[in-house]
Amino acid sequence: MGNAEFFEIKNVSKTFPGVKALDNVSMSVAEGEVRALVGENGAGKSTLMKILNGNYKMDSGQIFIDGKEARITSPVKAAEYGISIIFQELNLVNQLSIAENIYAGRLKTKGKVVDWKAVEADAKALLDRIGFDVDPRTEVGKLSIAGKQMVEIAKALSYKARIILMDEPSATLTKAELDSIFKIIKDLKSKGISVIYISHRLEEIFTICDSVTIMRDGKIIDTKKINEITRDEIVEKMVGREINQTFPKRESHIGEEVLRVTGLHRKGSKSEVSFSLHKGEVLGIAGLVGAGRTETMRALYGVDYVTKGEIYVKGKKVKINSPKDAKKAGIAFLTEDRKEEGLTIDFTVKSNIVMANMKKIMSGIFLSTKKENQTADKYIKLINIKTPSRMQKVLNLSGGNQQKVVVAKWLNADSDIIIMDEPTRGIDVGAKLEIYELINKLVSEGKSVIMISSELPEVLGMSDRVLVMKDDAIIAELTGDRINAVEVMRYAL
Amino acid sequence: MEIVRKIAKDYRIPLLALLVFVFMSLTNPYFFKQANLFGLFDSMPAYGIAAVGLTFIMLCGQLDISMGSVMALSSCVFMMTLNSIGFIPSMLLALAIGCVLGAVTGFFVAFFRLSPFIVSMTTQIAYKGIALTITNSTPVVNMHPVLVKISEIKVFGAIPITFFVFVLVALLAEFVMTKTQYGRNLFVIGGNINVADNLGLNVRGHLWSVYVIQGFCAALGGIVMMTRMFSASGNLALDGPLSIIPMVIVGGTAFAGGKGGAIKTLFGVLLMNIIFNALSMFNIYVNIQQLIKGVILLMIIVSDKYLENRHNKV
Repeated sequence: MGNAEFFEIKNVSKTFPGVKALDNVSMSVAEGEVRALVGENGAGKSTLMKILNGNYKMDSGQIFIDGKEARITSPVKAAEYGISIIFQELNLVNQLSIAENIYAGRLKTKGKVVDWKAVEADAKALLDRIGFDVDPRTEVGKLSIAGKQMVEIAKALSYKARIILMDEPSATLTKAELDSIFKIIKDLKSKGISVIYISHRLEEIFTICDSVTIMRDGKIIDTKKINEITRDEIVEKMVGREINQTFPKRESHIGEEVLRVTGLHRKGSKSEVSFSLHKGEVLGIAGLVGAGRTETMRALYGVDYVTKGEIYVKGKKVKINSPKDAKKAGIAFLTEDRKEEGLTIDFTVKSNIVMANMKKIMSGIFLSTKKENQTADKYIKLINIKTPSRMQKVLNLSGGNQQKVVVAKWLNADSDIIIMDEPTRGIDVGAKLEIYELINKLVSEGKSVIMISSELPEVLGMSDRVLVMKDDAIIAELTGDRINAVEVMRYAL
Repeated sequence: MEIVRKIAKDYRIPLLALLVFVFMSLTNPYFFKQANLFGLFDSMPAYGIAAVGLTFIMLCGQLDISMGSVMALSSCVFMMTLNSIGFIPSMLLALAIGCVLGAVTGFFVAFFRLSPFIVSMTTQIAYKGIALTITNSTPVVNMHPVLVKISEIKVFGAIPITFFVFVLVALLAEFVMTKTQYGRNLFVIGGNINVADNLGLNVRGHLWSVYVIQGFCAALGGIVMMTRMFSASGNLALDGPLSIIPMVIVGGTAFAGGKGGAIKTLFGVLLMNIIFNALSMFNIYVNIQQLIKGVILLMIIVSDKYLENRHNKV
């Protein structure tokens, strides 16, 4: 590694009305270093990133690159200083080609005319450099998320980036895709480019990073070499308290079968699936991204087209052709994208809770505000939604509490079978614990939960039974002692 | 086979236009007659040029419904000044007025980020008001010799010269859209405005400029319209937006922005006009024709969307 203080942030502070988002933050990154930046949601990572990208102006502090102060006033300035940020919501235009996305706004011209040949050749050279074998004329919208991230990396290189910040790149990647991103990161490192890698998945950090900086409540808590710290220590520093037990224990009371799926085949699927679910049970679905977990549940819920198979709810055969049918059968589906699909983000907590079952809050043909309020309050209390009032907009709640609102909504719709797709994605460690407790509460009240999760410890720690999926098929059912990482990975890989 | 499929996919609108044209020529004795062909090609340029202007706006993900009034007002000025200051000066004046009118609409869209629908709806009313006021609500008829001369020039015996003006405008616009940095920036803005902001593009300036271009095109369309109507009024091109917007969409420019082109619009205009001309060949009551037009339009747009998205389905 070269210059140890190649990139330096000194005493940066930023206050938003009512919140000190960054409090005297200082850190330095060496040339060619891969630094992990971790912290709970709200720790200040996003604010720091937006300051480095020139979206926000810091209240005080300085940023140095190679000993020279960088005054970042806009994203364009950031790029000029050699800082590139790859945001989770990628900064690409889907309708345009890879080449054009890389060089958007600064296409090579001959006279006044765009020299497409040169633009494409330059793009191709960049893509080759990161080992991404693709025609630069391909429309970006046709690429996978990983492909788009590679385009972003190529774009960063085209700006001669010297430091690249990646915001949770792994959130939606498969293992193979992640490996190729890791390969590129190693390659960047060897070329002396520094990387700040932000992720919630601590396992990855140990694979790819040289060091880790932990943030909490707008402050830097600690920076350590990766081999001088353990996973538990990182988690401890992130949450500021010791977590001995990540997964709260529960007494399982598993009752009769509530759901049986036989030979369910979804259009385009390579295989049929059969499984059952019992009262009071948490059924974990493990497998790699792309194994067909979400798709299978979408088919069960009537979103994806089912070609054949039978579904029995509480012993009765039901036909599910649409989410409406599923809802009637008492099945709830909490999608992984709660902001887009699960919540009306601009509405109040109350409206979100009551909307799935209007019948309950009617008084004759009119809506009863009283019943509405009662219903909302009941669930806010029941599952401990932390909100100043039922009239708070869901938008202003934390990720964990938003997730709880979705759960409340479905409970109010009298659902007994609750499918959760990545219920803890993008929410911080403390809130995760609350979601786990919520799941325990649900099953203790006789509901049944199907949980899809890419975080293996979560599946292992929470499930009474685990189904492992691979290539659209359920290839293993694990119970008791067999619910462990080795068994799951043996089947999933 | 792969090539056939690619051609069918990329050129379906021009192919469909050609198909209808050939079919009508073969089956209807009156279609491929000089008089009808002249009428067909004569009906396109005015709205066609305005449609090319609108394409710039829609590429940016914006909209304009004021172009009918811009056509009316600029052609009224054109016709009123024609005798006193001469053809070229009054044409330049009308074009300049078009640019100014477009700039006013664009100003509110670009700098206040107001909804383009609402802004252009209000400017449309205001522009029409001005046109009706200056003309005292009476049509301005002017059989200026240059206008008459232009209306008489035919190429290949059946195609009016104004049609080539339209084609020229479309080609020029296509060049700007595909081959210049400015044109490509429009795609970025329409495709993802956040990306444009992050790139440091002058988004406001670009948005403003496309409305000026549209104003220019609408005014030019209005002048072209005078070469066959010889009469302007405040109520000219009342159906402008409702006729022009579908032409752009049928051509393949995305309503949401980021996708499309002037040549696409050219073929959208061709296809729609050929179909409407063909419809008039059959003895169908004119109100029913409207219904059929609506249905055909819907069919084209729906099937087109289906073809576009077929491969994206789960």
